[in-house]
Amino acid sequence: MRKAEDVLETYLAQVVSGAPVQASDSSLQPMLRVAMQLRQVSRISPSPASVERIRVALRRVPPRAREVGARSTTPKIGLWRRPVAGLAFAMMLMALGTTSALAAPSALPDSPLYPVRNMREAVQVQFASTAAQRAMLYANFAAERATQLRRLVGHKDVAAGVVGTLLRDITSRVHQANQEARDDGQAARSAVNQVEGQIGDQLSQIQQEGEFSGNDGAQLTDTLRAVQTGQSGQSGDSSNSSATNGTGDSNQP
Amino acid sequence: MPTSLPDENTASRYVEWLDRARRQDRHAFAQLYEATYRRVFGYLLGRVGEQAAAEDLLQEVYLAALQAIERFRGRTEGEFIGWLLKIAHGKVMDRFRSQYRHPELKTSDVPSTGVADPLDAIDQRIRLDEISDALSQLTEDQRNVVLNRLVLGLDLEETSKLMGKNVGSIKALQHRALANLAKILTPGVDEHA
Repeated sequence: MRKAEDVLETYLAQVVSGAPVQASDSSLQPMLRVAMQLRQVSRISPSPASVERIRVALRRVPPRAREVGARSTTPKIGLWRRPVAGLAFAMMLMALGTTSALAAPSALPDSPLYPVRNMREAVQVQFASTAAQRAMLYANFAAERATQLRRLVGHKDVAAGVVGTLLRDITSRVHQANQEARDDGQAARSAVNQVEGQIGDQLSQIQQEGEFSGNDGAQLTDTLRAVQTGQSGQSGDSSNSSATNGTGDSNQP
Repeated sequence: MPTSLPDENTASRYVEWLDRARRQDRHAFAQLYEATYRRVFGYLLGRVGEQAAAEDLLQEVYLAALQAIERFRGRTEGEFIGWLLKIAHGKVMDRFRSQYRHPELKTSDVPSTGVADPLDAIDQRIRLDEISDALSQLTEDQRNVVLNRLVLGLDLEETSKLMGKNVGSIKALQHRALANLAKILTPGVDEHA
């Protein structure tokens, strides 16, 4: 004897397919009537005006950190532009002076040379010829900042705003490293994951020391989560999470 | 409404659209929107019971999806729809929470479509707000199973995959769900009919 669930399923398949339904079992009639009412909901479409409104809204959303074409391996700028960018950067370095340029690689966010550091990194990325190289550059930039942050916390010498900017820039660079690595095979992903592991260790130690509270503490948690998410290769499909989306990087390379 | 698994062309189109959309190719995301909005709308309409509210939520769902698409790792139509429905569920819950805090925002008006009433041709005029209220009295699994089967038009296997339950459980769930709905919407009907 067939179970009631199986009998109902036979009729439901007919309801879904749009075939006429005539149940011999009268006890099923109320359920099938409800099923047909629910099925009718699916025939209601949004108004053409709202469909168009959403199309327009989707087009109006400003592009995120970068807008690229079908292949992420496409260089962010054309190859012919890279020497131009390099030349422009070299001239800027000369203008800033050799001393400043040499000091820039370790400049902190409260230093006037921090923007130079970011630009220097941006040029390094532009000159990288493969996605794997770009991924490692981004990962190393993030790791350098994590090391600096750890050192600053150890010396209890953290100026206001430095922590937030460093954490934000770590998050964005980890995100970019993962994006680049994702398209360049297992080797690149493994290499980036290894660096992310080191960053994660540094940040975990900072967290365990409990030096940060309030916004800095919350941001540290978010950054740590972003690093760990990148390591595990999980997407984190919540629409609410912004931990790994790289937003808020005021000094995007 | 698809009632069977997507063919090879559809599958490869989704792989390509999703791949490009993750790289913020707006045209690809627009294709995904065109291919899926009716089903997401059906889900939203079933949950909130108001055409205008469902349309507003539909926009919120796709804007949120656009913001998060680069973190979505799925490659199939089913995975994408499932992901959209998760977002949609979150948006519906946000709306319910907001209505709880600001009850004056809740409306139970007849759907305002701006076009001719799409239900005119239907013999059994459905009562969206009543159906929505009845659905809200079901358990989460019961509600999802009837929405997936009857509003999205998914078959047993697709529903089973989307909800992470075996086919037998889906059959039992839909039986209980429809029995409960019949009891709520049709006074005098025995729950165990």
